[in-house]
Amino acid sequence: MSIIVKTVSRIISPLMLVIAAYIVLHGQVTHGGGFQGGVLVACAFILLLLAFGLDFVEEKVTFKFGQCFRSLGALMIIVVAFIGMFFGFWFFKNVGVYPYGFPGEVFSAGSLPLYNLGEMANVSASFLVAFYFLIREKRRNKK
Amino acid sequence: MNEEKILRITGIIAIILVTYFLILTVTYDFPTFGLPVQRVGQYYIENTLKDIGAWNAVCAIVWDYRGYDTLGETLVLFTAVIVVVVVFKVGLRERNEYNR
Repeated sequence: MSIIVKTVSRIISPLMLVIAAYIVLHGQVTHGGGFQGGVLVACAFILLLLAFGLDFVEEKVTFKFGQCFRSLGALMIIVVAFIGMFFGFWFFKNVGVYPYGFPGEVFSAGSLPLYNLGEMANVSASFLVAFYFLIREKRRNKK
Repeated sequence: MNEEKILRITGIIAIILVTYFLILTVTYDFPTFGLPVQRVGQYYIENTLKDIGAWNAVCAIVWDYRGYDTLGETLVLFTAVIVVVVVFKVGLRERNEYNR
């Protein structure tokens, strides 16, 4: 890509990561949530990928790291959902164990922030890994 | 032969009648046709802050009231990307490119 695209994407992608962190961490207070923030994280890396090429991004975020990250995200959702069972609540019940009450603050709504974090990890790494493979497949067909 | 046929037809008619009355008992509780169904939505709007303590009602519905649905959705995405990796890894293995 040309130098204009490279410079602009170099400036914009950290800002996208910051906005994604805001959307994920404030998912229970304002609009958004895990899925939207995760897609935004994936889009920040996909923007770098389109501007600088596949090899540049894959040095930073390897395929194995992506797989581990998204597996940890899915595992985190299930573990957080199960922890309530050991304290006398049912599966996916979110009241009592985690910080609760104080509506409007970040650490307020039971386990919803943790669910959002797990969803963010799962979605972002999933989209990134799928995108790696689709790009490679396109490159392979071109040769 | 003939008695068997009569018995069968009687059984079918009995099943149809029983089903008809069961459906009548269920549809008695339905809202009127054409009106919007507002009971669940009204409950969510009124009780989200009290039940869950989250300002974002969409997040509360998605992760608490409808938690199983979202869990399944997340795991569907997880499985879908596994399938993508499995399908596209075949060509990479032939060119010895898959573990760099």
